[in-house]
Amino acid sequence: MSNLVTLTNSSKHRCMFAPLMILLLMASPLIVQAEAKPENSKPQKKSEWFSEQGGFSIKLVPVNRDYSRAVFYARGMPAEVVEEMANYCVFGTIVKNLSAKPLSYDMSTWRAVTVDGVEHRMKLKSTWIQEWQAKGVGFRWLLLAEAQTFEEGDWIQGFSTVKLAPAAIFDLHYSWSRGEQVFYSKLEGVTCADHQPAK
Amino acid sequence: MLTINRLNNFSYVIVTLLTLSVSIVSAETPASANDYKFTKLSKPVQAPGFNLEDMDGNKQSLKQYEGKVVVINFWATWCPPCVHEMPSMESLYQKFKDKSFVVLGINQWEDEEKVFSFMGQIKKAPTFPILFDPDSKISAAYGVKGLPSSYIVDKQGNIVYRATGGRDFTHPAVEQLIESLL
Repeated sequence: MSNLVTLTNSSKHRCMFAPLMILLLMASPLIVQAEAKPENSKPQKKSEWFSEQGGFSIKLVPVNRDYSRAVFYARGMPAEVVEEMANYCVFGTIVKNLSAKPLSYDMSTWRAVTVDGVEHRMKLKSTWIQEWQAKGVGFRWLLLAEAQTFEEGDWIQGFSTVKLAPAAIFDLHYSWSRGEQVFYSKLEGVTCADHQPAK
Repeated sequence: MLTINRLNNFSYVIVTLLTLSVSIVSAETPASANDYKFTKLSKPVQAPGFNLEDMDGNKQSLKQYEGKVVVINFWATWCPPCVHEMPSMESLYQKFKDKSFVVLGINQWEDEEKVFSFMGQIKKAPTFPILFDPDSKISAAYGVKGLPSSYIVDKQGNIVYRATGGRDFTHPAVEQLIESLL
């Protein structure tokens, strides 16, 4: 019986507080928004760009210049080579064949189109390798293969590069093919990493 | 002095970034629905031979594994998907090592010291032979464009399957594929 009374009293309290709770709940999003707005007034920076179409997927993650330096120094590359790479806009890039049929890509046809409408070619792995070899460097990894045919399940990741300033914004116009058929697409508003100098 | 200080600071940045990169890149390592697929070559080709040093400094050749099914995996410690797939390769090796099967992990551009310290850091360190291809000549002979890349060689020494990018070697389809070659 006492339990029943307790329950009844509790129910009464709930009834009394219910309108207040509803009011608070209705107001809470406003409160949260009002609190959040001044701090989040700057648009959130995107940290990666991804697209998947027709079984071809691409993901770009901007790599800042000190990270690039760290990675290439750690591979024993000479300072001259490391600093040259640090002058580029670098992306960790993953491309995959998610379809059941072979497909190919060729980065020599890809273009980074900046907001002024200028088309910039990607600097290809073969070009880097040639330059490195001329400097006596035999290393040929880390960079994304510029052209590949992927069978089902194949994928690859590596750095892709384009000569643009830190924080430069561009649309990446890219393509891939399946047999004779060529597909075109673009990743919009891709942004190079900010320059963060070593302290 | 200034240069030394700057270098020390830069070293610190490097260490920090590399530490961060491990976690960033680990998160990147993707698993696809078709991450068990190997491509069957329409016409098997003879696997290029090699004679490379292992972790103990002994030479190992492909020829000495004639009569066995061999998975040749090109990898490096700095390659996240290589590290990711390593435990699954070890599981496959453990499952079939007593049945004329071997995995050979051919490291690219690194030395024993680097690989030895790496082995101590991973959960399931490989017990299969790790070989060193310090100038990447062997990977070039296999036409490797990116790491990791894997090739399956039959008992006759021919490449019969290949895969570019990380794979799940514990997938039943991969185990069936190996069994079919044994």
